[in-house]
Amino acid sequence: MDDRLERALDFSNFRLTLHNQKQSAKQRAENMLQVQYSNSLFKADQTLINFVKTMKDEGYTPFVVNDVHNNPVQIEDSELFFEKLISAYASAMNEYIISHEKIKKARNIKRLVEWE
Amino acid sequence: MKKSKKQETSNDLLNGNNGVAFFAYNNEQIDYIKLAVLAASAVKKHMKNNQTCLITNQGSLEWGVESLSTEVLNNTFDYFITEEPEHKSNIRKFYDSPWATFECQFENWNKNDIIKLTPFDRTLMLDVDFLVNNNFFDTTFELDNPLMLYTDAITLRNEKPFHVLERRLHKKGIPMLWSTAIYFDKNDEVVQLFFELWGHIKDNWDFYRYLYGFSTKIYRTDFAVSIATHMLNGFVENTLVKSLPDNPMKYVEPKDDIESVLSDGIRFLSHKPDEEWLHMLAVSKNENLHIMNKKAIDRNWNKLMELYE
Repeated sequence: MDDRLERALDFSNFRLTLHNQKQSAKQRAENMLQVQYSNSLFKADQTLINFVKTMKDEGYTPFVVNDVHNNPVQIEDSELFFEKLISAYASAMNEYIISHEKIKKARNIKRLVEWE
Repeated sequence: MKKSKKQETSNDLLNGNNGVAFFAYNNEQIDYIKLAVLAASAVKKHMKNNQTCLITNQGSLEWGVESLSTEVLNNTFDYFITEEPEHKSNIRKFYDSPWATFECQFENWNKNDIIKLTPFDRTLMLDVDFLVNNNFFDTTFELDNPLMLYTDAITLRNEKPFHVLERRLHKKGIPMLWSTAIYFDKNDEVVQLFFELWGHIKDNWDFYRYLYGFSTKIYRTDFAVSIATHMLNGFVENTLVKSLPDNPMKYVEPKDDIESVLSDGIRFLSHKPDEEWLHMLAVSKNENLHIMNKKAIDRNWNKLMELYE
């Protein structure tokens, strides 16, 4: 095989594996962002965290937000809900950035899949 | 039916009578009891709601005692239920990588009886080739949804299933839901209706095959739960049964293989569906995994068990 092509295909394989491992890390973070409150499930994203903080700070308690299935849920204890959201967000994103950095630093497939 | 209980349970009693149930009926090719021990060990390691129940038949249980020991079984399961399923031929082709296949009886006729067999009020029924690698499923027991399953799946390559029959019942059919993991509250009326209807669909399988337009003759519980959900939801796309918290389910295809077991994860060889001779390495950590290549689990059983010690 032409060396140039071989090098290009090696890199192409590397990019494919890199993309896949990044997707897995992202999916794991998405799952970790889920928060259970009042028998319902929420995603602790930046929008929800900001909204809850605003409602809490402005004294709108209790208030209503949609869960992941778009069902309205009344938030009685906004302090507890907010704590759960930021805690889930922090642990998910901290783990995500560690995985992401590790993947980013890998310069070959062996490193990416921890072969060595 | 014999129902026996071990002395100690590991469930947090504050959580109520929750637990995880497995069906395991050995055949001449696959030791389902061995797979169930691995799957239940993973549950014990990662979940808080970790009472476990093994539903099996006398022959499989006796083989489990002989091959693994009573101690291993008792350490892994809190409940044993022996139930001999009605025998109907259900020969299925299994893959072990793209290069090896085998055929054997697939015993899944009584999966819908779980609602009668389970000792738990709230049950997570898992296939024995499903490995729990985090605590996301604990959330299911705290939600207001009495019935949940995986409504979508992705492969090791983080892609939607390649084959249409893993997305829809046929190319223009209803969406396929997965019966690999089903959470339910057995005291809920809609749940009872769901399992009754599942039984009815199973009993009239040929009719429903014709009605829903798919050609596969083997009885597939994925298809049965998809039809039951579709019917209960007024014959429109599902809004009734909610997805499990970590939906989509990550699955390892039967043609994929385990390359090696790491100290904190598993490295796989993932085949390319349209060019099966091409593979990619993929490392999985902390993800729940449906590993459909059962021979691969069997080959790596000892090392996989070390992950859950």
